[in-house]
Order: sequence, then structure tokens, then C-alpha cells
Amino acid sequence: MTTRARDPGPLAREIEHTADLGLEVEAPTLPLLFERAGLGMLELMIDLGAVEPLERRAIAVKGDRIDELLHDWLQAILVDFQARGFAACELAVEELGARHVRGTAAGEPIDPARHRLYTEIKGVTYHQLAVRETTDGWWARIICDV
Amino acid sequence: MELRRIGEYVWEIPRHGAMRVPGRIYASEKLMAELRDDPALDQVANVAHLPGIVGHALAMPDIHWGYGFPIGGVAAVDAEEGAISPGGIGFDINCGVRLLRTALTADEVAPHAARVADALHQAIPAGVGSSGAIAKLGRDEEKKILARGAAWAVARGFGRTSDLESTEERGGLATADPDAVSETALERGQHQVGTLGSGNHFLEVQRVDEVYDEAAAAALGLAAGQVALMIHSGSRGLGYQVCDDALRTMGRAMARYGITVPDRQLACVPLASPEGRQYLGAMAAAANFAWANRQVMSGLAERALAAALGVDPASLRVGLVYDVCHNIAKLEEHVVDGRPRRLCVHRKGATRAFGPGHPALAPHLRALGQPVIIPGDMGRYSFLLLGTAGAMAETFGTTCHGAGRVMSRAQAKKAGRGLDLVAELARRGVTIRAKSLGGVAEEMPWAYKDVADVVDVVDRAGIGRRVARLRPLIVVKG
Repeated sequence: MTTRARDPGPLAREIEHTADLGLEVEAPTLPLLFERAGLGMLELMIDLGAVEPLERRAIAVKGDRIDELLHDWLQAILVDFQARGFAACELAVEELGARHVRGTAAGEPIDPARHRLYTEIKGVTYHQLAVRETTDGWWARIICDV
Repeated sequence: MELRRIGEYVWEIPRHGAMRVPGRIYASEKLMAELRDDPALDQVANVAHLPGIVGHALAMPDIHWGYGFPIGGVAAVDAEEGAISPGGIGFDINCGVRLLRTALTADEVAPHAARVADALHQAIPAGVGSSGAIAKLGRDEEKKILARGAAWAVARGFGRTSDLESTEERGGLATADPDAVSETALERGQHQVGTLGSGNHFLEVQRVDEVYDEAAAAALGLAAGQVALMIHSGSRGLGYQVCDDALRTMGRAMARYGITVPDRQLACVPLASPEGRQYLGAMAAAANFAWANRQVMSGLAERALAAALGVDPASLRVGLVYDVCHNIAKLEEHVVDGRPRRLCVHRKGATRAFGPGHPALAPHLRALGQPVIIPGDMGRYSFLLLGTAGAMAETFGTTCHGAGRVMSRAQAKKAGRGLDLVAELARRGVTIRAKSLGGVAEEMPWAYKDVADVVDVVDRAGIGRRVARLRPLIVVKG
């Protein structure tokens, strides 16, 4: 599956946190949860409506727990955005195991002339980080330092 | 949570559960009323679980809910047996503030406010992932910054050598280990020296609005009506990555050292452990990067200001009043129970405030005490304080760092909906230039406590002393 920023419906819901930015994400499957969380975080930083899927990049992370995998997945997307100036508007998780995630990001280099930028996210915190299976699928809470 | 009032401005959370020491919060009744149900108080109690913590887990009156540590949190741990916690420093290592005096008066700048604002906005890259103030650095050059800090920038013509005398640690921690910084962190920092960033970071042209101690202000080169520059920024992506790298490493290493903490964001390891030493070296390197960053920006601002006013930069007689960091851990000596002890003091959203006579202060500041810069919100004012003997006795030489948020970013945006932010600030006499007006909405004055209330508490509690108040004339933001 691939999740596109232009797919109908919300990717994530912003939750109240005094100093930082909190996100709650829901999805019927775990891969979809990772895709929505990634795009939900990106849309806090850039207007994804103007980003085109012109280039593809691989994302691969390893971790011991599911919440750690989500943290590292988001952090990898964040580093691509900030250090390499690459904004993804489509995310596809191709493989998700107990200790690894492998996927692809499609997007383009950030162009301040065309892309509206919003908030700078400094990092994905472990504070209240949670990934849980629910009756409808999966739920995650993420707090980012801004 | 049980909370006991033990002084007019001091409240205590008694030890309970696995807390190693009590918590202690500096606040007025008014500020505490806003805090009663805030998760920040639980976070003070959580910090009291850190191995080796000495005295109290402290919180300053600008305390608010952070991640792991509360913002406004202070923890001093024994330098031999204590633990270092990157969450007690934060992602933005050595986020800090500097105040520069100029020879200009507000009346000289006000008629040219729009031109000066444009010039500063152009000269200093701001906003999400801002870059390009100076050419992208090669790895060797970047590591020189990590080793030398502000001195690197001075050697390249940004500011002057005397600025180093007015910077905490002379703008460079000798304990920095550039090789402890990951390749990803270096990549995130390579084009960000001299950039402001976004969020609550800013550059302001300010007017000295009220002076509370004329002799102290004069000794620092300030008088009412004078124009000053204030810069608030930190270590940018490089520091953020150093924090993330360490949290990951320490989260895994904790079990090996038999440490448990109530929040993974408080992950910590013994200071003397290989992971602890590596983080201390990397953190110091990131701190040096931040000092170089602020030093470059002050040089760029000085040039832009002079160009906008059509004068020679030298005629502005720009000089650094002081540069403080408010997200850092430092090895310091403090008197605890009557005997000197070597401690590692974590300050997250808290400012060092060494009192008069402290040997770490440069000779021109030793009789005064350390200048402490407390930024407020962009519509009201900021303050210049001095460190005190009271801070040395009670708070490991620490005071507040800013106003502290009262509204979440989402609430602030909602409250500002339909309002013309630029016009609202203009009504208050403030000219603003920002990359993202959406971002500015999150930073509007009503999102913050009144910094005067915060400063009033530290002044009355004796852990800081008011010298002057500064009002913004021009605000540049990301």
C-alpha cells in the first residue's frame, strides 16, 4: 500500500501539549499507521499539497520494539527533510517485522519558492510515545519537540 | 500530588515513591494556581528519580509541561556517582540568548524600522530548515566549529574578541569531542551556522524601556532609550540529532547500569560510563556550535543594521552585554550542606545566574554578578537580570529562562484566528518580519505568561536581580 498526502481523510490529529506538538494517529493496519504518522508529521512542516512525487528514496530502520520502530521511522523522515531538503508526499511501508521497517518515500527537493513551510520539528520524543492495537486497528501517540 | 508551601515563593513536593530527593518549585500564588493541574509538576517529581541527584529537583517560575524534564527544570547530580540525562538538556542543546548594546537611540531607529526589519530579515536566514548564512561547511571546518565555538566565528570576522569575555564559558567548552558527534548530526548542521530556525527563536531590535538599577545598567553599557539587539537560537539540527542519538543509546544502555526512570525521555547513564562520556563530549561540541551560530548571527545583524541606516558599522559601537545558554548540563562546584561538591547541573529552560565574585565570571563582571537575559513574548518585553548570592545558595546558581507558555500552539492559533497579527503588533509599536505567519500565530503574546510575573518571582525570591526591561521595536522570526 501507499499513503498519499492527497488521499481523502485526515492523516493525524493534533493533540494539546503546552510547549510541543502532539499527534494521534489511527489506521486499520500497522503499515498504514506508519505511513499516516510520517505524512502527518510532514504536514506540520510543509504544505504537502504542493509537493510532487518526483523522486523515490528508501527508508530502512531497525529497533527492538514497535514504538522504537515508529520513532526511528519518523526520525529518518525528519532527517531526510531537514538535512537533505527532501519532502515526501507519499509513503509506502513495504516490509514491517518485529525488529525492522523497510519502505519508500516519494517526493521532491524542498523549494521555498513553491512550498509553504510551517513549523520546524526538532525531534521526535519518547515522552508518552505509544503504539497500541485497538478493536478497529492501530493507534499511536507521538510528541515532537518544536 | 501533595504540594507544601514552604516560603512565600517556594513550594515543595515531598519525597514519595522512588523519588530520591524532594521537588522544589519557585512560583507566586498566581503562577501556582495556573500550574496545579499541569503535568509539569509530575515531571518535577520524575526528575527527582535521577541517580545521584543532590538537594532538590528544582523548577523555576516559568515551569511548563515539557517532555521528560519540565521546561524550567534543574537537576544537579554528583559528578562522580550521578547520571547524565540528555532529556534534562533537550533537543536544542545550548539554546540561548544574547544581548548586544548599540550606540543608537530608539528615536534614531524608529523612522527606519521597516528598512531595518527588511535588512535583518534578509541577512539572517530563518524558518524551517533555514540554511545558507555562510557557505556549506566541509567536515573539517565543521569540526573546527565544534571544537572552538564562538572563537571560530570571531576569527572569521563575526564580532570581536571582547565578545568572548561576555559569553558563558567564553563561548566554547573545552570538553567538546567533535568525534563523538554522529555523521547524521554533522550533516544536519553543515549548512546551518548563522541561521535562526523557527518556533520561539527570534532576533529583535529592542529599546531599553525601564532601568531598575542604573549603576548596574551603566556598568553593562546600557541606559534608558538605548537600542539593543537580542538573539534567541541554539544548535540547530546538529544539536537536535546529538540529543536523539544519545536518547537511543542511553535508552538501551540503562538496563545494563540497573537504572529505571518513570519516562523514557529521562533516559540516563552514569556520567563516568562510556556512553555518559561520549554524550558529554558530543553535547559540549553541540554547545560550541550554538555559540558559533549566535556569534555569526550577531556579526550579520551588525552589518545589516549599519547598511540599512547607511552608516559605518564601527559607528554603531556594538558590543556584547552577555550570552547565556538555557539548555545545557555543566560541571560546576557548589556548596552543599556546607561543603564544596563537584556537580553536573542540568538546566532545561533555566539559566545559570552566578552571583557576584564567582571565579567563572570575567573580571569586568565579577563585582556585578552574571548578566542573565530573560526573553519575553514578542508583543511585550524582555528583561536583563543579574545573578545573585541567593541563587548560589538555593538553586545551584540558577534562575528562570523566559515567560513560559500557557497555551498550546494549537490553542494559540485558534485564539488568533481572524486577527491581523501584523496589525496587532504594529498597534503595539512592533514591526515584524517572518517567514511563516502561521508560525507567528503560535508565538503571539497571549500564548505566554507575562514574563514580568516570572521575573518578579525570581527577584523577590532572591535568585535573580532585575536590572532593565527592554521592549521590542522590530521582530524577525522564522
